[in-house]
Amino acid sequence: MGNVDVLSDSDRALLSTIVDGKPVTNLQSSSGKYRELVTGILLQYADSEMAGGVGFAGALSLAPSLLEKTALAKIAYEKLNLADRTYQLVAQTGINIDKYIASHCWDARLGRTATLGYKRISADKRLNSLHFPIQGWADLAVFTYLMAGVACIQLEDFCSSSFEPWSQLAEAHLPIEESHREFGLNALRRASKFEQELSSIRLSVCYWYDKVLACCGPPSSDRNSLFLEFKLKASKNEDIAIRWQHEVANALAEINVSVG
Amino acid sequence: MQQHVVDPEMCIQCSACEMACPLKAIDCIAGRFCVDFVKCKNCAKCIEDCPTGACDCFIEVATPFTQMEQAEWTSVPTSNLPQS
Repeated sequence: MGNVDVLSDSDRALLSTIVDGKPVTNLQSSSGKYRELVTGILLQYADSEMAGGVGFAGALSLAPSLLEKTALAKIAYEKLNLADRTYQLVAQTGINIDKYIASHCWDARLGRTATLGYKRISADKRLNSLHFPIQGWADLAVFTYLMAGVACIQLEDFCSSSFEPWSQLAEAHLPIEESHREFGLNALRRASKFEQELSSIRLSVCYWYDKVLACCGPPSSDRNSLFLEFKLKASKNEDIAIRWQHEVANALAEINVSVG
Repeated sequence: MQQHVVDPEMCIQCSACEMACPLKAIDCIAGRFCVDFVKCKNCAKCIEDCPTGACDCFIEVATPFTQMEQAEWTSVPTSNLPQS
């Protein structure tokens, strides 16, 4: 409980009811620190879906067939819809969501060779991997599979969040995110049958792997300790990362791609 | 001149900015977080900790708004510069 000294009396009182197993149902009646932590999680998720959805909409021409263009358009729509539902939760705090969305450039991307690590660089709260541009269909499939994989593990974790409206939303979003992961993996399975595409996949995995791994968050993070104390998350960043690494290694081995 | 303020339309009243400020330049007045123009040195610590970007707000002013004036805002005025 090393973070308790940064908490106010109302934060401590709320923490005590959460430790007793009582969920939080309304952000406005919660404490300042809890509101800050929940809003941080919700905006990071919603902004990532928003940047992802807008990015996919602009990448439709990369899909090789009409079937794949349609599937990608559906994913873009679903991502914007997941973002919308999450922003509606954030709106409980009184934020002007329309103004927030209009204040950010959702299709902005850095150069392909930029390096970020865990450093935040934008006013919106998207995960850092969503700052990088996609190059080609195999690259999109790799990115989609890797990122949706992290999102699925994190959403599973959020299903037991102490903020009840978010735990319910995470449960509803999980099957949709799983379908995006499947879309990415199936696209990789199809593309890997061609030697040239398999080389592109291997290069893309090398490019995206560490960037997506960083989205699991830094190990031994003070902020993550607060998330755990308030039961907003159940797993340490490093445990999420280990699970993701295992899942990815097993799935990519099927198509003869190694990682690490 | 430029004045650093908190956008009330983006603020969730979590007090992260008030706690982050090393100069104690941000006070909560009537539920609004208001920046003291004299104390604030634009170190951006509040911007780093703000979960919504409410603190990432600067406006062009002829005369700085007082904290009491900021406490009455429901949205950020675009400026108080004289109309030319």
